[in-house]
Amino acid sequence: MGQRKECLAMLLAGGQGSRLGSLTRNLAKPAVSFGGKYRIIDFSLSNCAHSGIDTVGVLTQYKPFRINSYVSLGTAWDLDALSGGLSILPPFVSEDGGCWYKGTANAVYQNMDFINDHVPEYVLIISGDHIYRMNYNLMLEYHKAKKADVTISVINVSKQEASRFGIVSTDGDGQIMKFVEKPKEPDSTLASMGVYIFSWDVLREALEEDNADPQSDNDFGKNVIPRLLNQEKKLFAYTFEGYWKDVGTVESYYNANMELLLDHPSLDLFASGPRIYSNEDILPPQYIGPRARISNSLVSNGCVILGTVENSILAQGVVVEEGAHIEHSILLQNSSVGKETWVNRAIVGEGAQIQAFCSVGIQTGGANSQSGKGGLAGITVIEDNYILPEDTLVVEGSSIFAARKT
Amino acid sequence: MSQAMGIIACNGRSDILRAITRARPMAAVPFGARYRVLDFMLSCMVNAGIRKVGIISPYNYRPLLDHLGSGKEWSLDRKSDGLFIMPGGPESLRAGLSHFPLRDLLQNIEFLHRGIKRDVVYSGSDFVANVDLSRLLAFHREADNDVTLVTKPLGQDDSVRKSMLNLELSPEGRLTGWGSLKGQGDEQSVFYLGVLVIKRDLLTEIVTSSPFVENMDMFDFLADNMRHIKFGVYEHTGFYRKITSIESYFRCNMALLEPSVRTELFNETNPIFTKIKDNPPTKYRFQAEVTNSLIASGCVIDGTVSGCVVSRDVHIEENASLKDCVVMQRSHVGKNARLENVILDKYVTINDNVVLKGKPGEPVVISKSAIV
Repeated sequence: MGQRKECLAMLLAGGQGSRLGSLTRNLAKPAVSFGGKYRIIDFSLSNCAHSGIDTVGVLTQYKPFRINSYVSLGTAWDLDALSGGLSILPPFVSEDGGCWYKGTANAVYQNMDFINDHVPEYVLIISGDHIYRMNYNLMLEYHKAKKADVTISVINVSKQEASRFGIVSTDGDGQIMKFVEKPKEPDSTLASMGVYIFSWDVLREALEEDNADPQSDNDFGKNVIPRLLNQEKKLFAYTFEGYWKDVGTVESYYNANMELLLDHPSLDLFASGPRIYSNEDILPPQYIGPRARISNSLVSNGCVILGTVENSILAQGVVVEEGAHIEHSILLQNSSVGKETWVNRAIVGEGAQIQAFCSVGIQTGGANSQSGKGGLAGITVIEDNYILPEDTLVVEGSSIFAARKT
Repeated sequence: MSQAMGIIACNGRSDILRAITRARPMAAVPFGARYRVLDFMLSCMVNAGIRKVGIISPYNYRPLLDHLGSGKEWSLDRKSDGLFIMPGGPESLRAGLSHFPLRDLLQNIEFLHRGIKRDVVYSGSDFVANVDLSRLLAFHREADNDVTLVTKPLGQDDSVRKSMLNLELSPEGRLTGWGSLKGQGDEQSVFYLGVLVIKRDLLTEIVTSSPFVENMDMFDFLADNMRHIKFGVYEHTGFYRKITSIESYFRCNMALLEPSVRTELFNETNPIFTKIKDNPPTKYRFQAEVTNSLIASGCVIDGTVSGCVVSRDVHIEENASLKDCVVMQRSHVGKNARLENVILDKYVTINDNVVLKGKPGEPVVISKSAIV
């Protein structure tokens, strides 16, 4: 038995994020690069670190290698703690067999022994898919003050967006009366952020019941929360005020990145206070060449910029050759753009090479144009490690990826 | 597992950079936008597989220890071996001439006694280079030398100083003596770069058996025992700059703007490690005009910057203009300020409209936390 922890976190990092298309073909969504030097999981891990939660189980399943090596021992987030610390929890087998994680609740259910070891009073369930800064301690204080069984963190969204989320309706005191996943006619605009605090005994019982129910999809939002409401447990909504994004699609991923370039972005990476930690490679400073031009852009360590970069985000180790022109684009780690190549409204995957004299993101004004047909809203995506040969023309909204052996 | 251990002396002369070294030892002087001078030799050792490194600390060790921490960034936070911080003596009276004062090792003889390493790489911390120590160690062992000195010829650039120790070699390349350079020297004159490898047994013997070891330099001992010791010299062919003055510090920073220098110092096989600060990327705003500059992360730039080396978290406001400047961490340059040939130490604030101009190659230095 480990040292007793008041609250430990279970971080769900096993989802594919299939709507991100080429971006998640080779890695799980939490490992996708964001904002130049970060990966999406940095935000929830940094939140844990800054909230003093030093025991974190990271549940992995889909293409876990990148996330495993990135998260490693949690050292980059100060989570290599003396007791507790960060543990990566993949699916496993035991005497009576074993199986893949069937849903979010099932993933936690299968790791109840891990939680038991720490004898917590509370369990924080979070996802590695979201971009936000949050002090979980304030939520835990609220949970205790309300003597709640479960507290769900909620954020106010617009009426139009509401049908994409789990929507809660509360009474005047914040107690949840109703919870509906993706309602067609939402009663309220309080959306669940997928951040839950459970009192451990309530969670244990709920997971056992959920596991015993053959009809269940073993999902927190779909099954566990509605069941607890039916049982008249005390579920409270904790209203979070601040930035929170679930970058589920290529378009929302692109927009969330581009918002960082605003004069006063809602997610201010430069704000004073605790910084977002990341497990960065130690690279040399960026070099900006004699004929380079950079404006309104974020550029990371290890970049070499000899061409023009406007309204773009460049992750670590990106090379932009002379005469290249990058605008409104996101260039991920170690990608490169050759001489005299033009890149517009594109997401260039990690290690991808766009060779000389290419044009990427050519506007056609046609069906695939910015109007958004084809689901990419005119954003061109080039897969990780793809090599785009010289003189290639790529029409906006294309998704370029290598053919796979089937 | 490397058969060598490392020692880096960080208690050398520390008044060379005047205002810049008032606050810190040379080893901890910020360099190249995100590094400290010590990072280079420390990374060279780690890249050669050395996992036991002793740092001989100076009296003003705070900035140094703050930077090194447990040695995590260099993978030196280890159960066996790792990073050792050792007390060093104050710089000796003959500091200008001393190359390897034995007193520092006498105090720390335990460090030498323990373990089973065959060789010791001993280095100073007042230069910038990426020396391939694994090749040096292979050469040292293959030749079965007792001592191998790392050298460089005077050449045509200013990287090697005439003030450095001049080695006298026989036509076959055997070391016959050393001293300060007599006369002008020529391009073939060979100099000691402040890095050597010595067999651990021999070093231990020197430290424990020499009389007057307290005031002795190892080169005195080596000179006295020239005939019994097998010497070798190993030429470092790459970039090397010894920092001997504000001017050379400035030029050394500016050298990083050369692509060839960067490729040599910052290559993927032998990376230079340094402390991580978790900065965001650098933000170039609408009015930024940055050319031929090396910029660290976390900066916000809205002005004109050319020919500069800019460290982490520096803010340069709109219409400010910086030409040929070295700017250290967290400095702030206000609107319409004009700076040319200036070194800003950490946390400097330059108010709006201030104009500061040094002469080319003779920079003006604004010391730490100053408000101008």
